[in-house]
Amino acid sequence: MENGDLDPQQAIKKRNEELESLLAACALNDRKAFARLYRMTSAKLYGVVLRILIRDDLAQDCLQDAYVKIWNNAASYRAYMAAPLTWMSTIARNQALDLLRKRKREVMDRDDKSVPEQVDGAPLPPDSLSRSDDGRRLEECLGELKDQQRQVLVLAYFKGLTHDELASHTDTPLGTVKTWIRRGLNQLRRCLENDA
Amino acid sequence: MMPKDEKLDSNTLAGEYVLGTLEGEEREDFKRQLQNDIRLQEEVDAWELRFAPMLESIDPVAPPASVWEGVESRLTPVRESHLDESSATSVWDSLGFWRNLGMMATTLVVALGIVLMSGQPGSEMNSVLVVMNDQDRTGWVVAARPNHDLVKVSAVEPTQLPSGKVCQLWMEDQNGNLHAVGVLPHDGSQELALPMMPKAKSAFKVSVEEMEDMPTDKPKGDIVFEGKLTEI
Repeated sequence: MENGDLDPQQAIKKRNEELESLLAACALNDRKAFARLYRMTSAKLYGVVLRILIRDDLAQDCLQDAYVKIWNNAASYRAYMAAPLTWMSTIARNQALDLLRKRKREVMDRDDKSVPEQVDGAPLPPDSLSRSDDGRRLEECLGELKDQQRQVLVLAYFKGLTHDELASHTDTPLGTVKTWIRRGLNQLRRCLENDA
Repeated sequence: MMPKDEKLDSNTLAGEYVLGTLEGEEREDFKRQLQNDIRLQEEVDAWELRFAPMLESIDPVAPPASVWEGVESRLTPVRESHLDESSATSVWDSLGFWRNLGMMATTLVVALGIVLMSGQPGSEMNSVLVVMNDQDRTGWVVAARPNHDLVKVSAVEPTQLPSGKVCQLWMEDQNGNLHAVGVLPHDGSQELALPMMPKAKSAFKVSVEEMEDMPTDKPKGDIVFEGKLTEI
């Protein structure tokens, strides 16, 4: 086994290269490549949408939408901008948050009153993001924020909570929550830029 | 203390857009703005990338087979334009802006023709940047030679601008900073000096500026095009 395992960095690089070429093939209408892309990435993306949407049925619909979008937009993927899985995971997250927003609007329209803020009890991802250099950097910079600032940023990112919902969830005045977010964003950006 | 004057610049708005806390009308306004403002799109892209490592830490969960069946039944042949119109406001789908990279063969042929016609026999021009016009056709061709700090810019079908406006070409350095190159000509061709030696894939941008008030340090007007040199 000493030499049997690929160095993890090498393995990631190899996987990314394969995903990049699969996306390029999808842009040329290659459904076989898309099927392989799906096999290689769907568990990751399902994890992402499930984390945000919690409900299996919603997450499955959302995952379908996300892959249809990936197929339709494969040609606009640019390897120098983001790793393939980053690009795809971001599409999946955005799709899930769009679905959440749509559902909230529907409930609002139906009830004609503000939707009760619901924050599910599902745990946030573990504190450790350090699976990559970027992850470690982000973790360090998030660590430099005040606890409350970090908490609202992470809650918003994963749960799609609005300002109002964040205020109610953290039992804090709306204005304060807004300030936390804006300052948190600015500080995070500065930290990440200085580090780069 | 709760400062009311917390600065709400476009970058913070872009961050809130990505985070998801930009809501309702503000979100819709921002999306509209995003469609036409490539600099704002870049800010959104940058925020997506800053936060993306958070998604890495999520454990994979195998979806049921029914999902793939559903996906497969919904696939339609990829369209020519590749862009999903309904979602053009999302950055991750608006990357079609970088058109020069997905240059079609025909465009490349046009570019080659221009370079061959305009160059002296045996011209060593071996990299081009095809700048698309507002109709998505070849507007200008920028021809470069690695390690020569002059480019030849030829107008093909330049974008028709209101009087007093010009298209200004910018070159990006390794740190992503832009340096002014010059004005794209309305017709004919022109040699422009570059602020630094071009590399195989040097990146350029084009902004629309006031002729009377052209910036020298960074673009003031909208960025309408960006692309990289392609070897031919």
